[in-house]
Amino acid sequence: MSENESSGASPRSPLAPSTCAHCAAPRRLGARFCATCGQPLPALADEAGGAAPRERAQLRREPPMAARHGEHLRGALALFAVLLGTIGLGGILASATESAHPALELAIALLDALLILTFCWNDREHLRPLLRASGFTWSTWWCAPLVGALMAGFFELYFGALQSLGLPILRMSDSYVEAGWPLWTAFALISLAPGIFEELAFRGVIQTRLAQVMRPGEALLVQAAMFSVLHLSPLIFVSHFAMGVGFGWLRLRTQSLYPGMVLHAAWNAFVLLEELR
Amino acid sequence: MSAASRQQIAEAGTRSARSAQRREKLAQKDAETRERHIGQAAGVMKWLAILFVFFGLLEGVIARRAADRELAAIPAGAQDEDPLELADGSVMPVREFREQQELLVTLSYTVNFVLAAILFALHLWALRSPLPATITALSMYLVLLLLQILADPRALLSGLFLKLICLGFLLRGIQAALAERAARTAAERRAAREAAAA
Repeated sequence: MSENESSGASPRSPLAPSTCAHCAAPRRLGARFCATCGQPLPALADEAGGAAPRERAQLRREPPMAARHGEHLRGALALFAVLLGTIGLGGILASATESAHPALELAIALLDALLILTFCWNDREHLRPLLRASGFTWSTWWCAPLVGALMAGFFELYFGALQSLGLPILRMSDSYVEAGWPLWTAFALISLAPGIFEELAFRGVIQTRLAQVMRPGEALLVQAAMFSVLHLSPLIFVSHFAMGVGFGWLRLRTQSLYPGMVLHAAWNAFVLLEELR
Repeated sequence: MSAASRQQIAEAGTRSARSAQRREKLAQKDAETRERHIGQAAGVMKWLAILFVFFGLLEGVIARRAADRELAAIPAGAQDEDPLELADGSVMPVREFREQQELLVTLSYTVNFVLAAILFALHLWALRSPLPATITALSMYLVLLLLQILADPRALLSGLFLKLICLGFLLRGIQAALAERAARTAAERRAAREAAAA
């Protein structure tokens, strides 16, 4: 099979693809350019002289652009609302029992993980390239240490300023120490789990879905804003917005979620170590 | 050149001019549609910012009066370090109680004004890109509601009508922003098609 046949990109191909070869967005009937990424599309078979009723029927069934955009947006907002709901549930349960027991945090973390994985399964087509081991290339390896160094410098200044103003900074490990849980559970729930699942949710599902309806830079800023406000503490909105921007940029630059996951988990582990020191 | 050829050339010229006029009209209509949608989406955030300023002032005044009432209830001649028994049975020094009351007043002003400032900044962003700005505003508002509920579950019902209006406004803003995005994409596609044809 020739290269043209395998890609389906030839104008003379009897079965021209019904999706864009660059971004996999569905194409509309008669479209010469992709509505999502703007790349030129190969002509359909009927436009090249043949007949392709199956493609035409498929393309006619496509919803209009605003509806497709709305669908992508609903997916991103639904995940955000679900995560907000689980945080709210955790908060209400914690205030009802008048304690923040690690068992409650574990239950909420498991629920979050389950919900995020469900969303990831729905979006597996879009997430697969970001989770491929070969997706991370060494030509972009320098991005992760750069983002890490910039974040460390910024946080040193930011949290130093908060402390000098006498503002209270939330300690994450206290409930684990008080409940007598082993330290590795604190690392698993505070460092590892958020590193994996928050990256899958925000830089994976949400950023990918938002990028379908807006420019990549805009999607980066919106997911960072969502990431920061979801932590529910006004004092850390700024620092977590910076974190969201850093991890989002890393995902855009490397086309992989792994550097962000490693950096996120490492940062949380560092904060935990600082608390325990 | 024969008269027939000259007529054909003239007709082709007229057709081309008409086609250019039609394209121009379409582009103008697109721009008007987009501006209308942008105005709707950005307007939502401007009105919400005004609403937050208004309610910030109102809440501030109410908090000031409540604080004045609490401070007036401190026994006359009480020193800063004297213990003060509160209604819930807890005890705190008089100075700390005064500071707490002042902080509540400051917070009720500050929180609303900061939110109004953020919404105004989002309004400015929406004039350029309405969709990201409206989504950010909606996320922020949802988190704000959750924070209020977590602080006091009764807050869900107080001002419920106003909260629903705010949510409705934001959803309408998102709808307008989506329509603007679709119109923009369609215009870009048409421009690309024309460029390719040229």
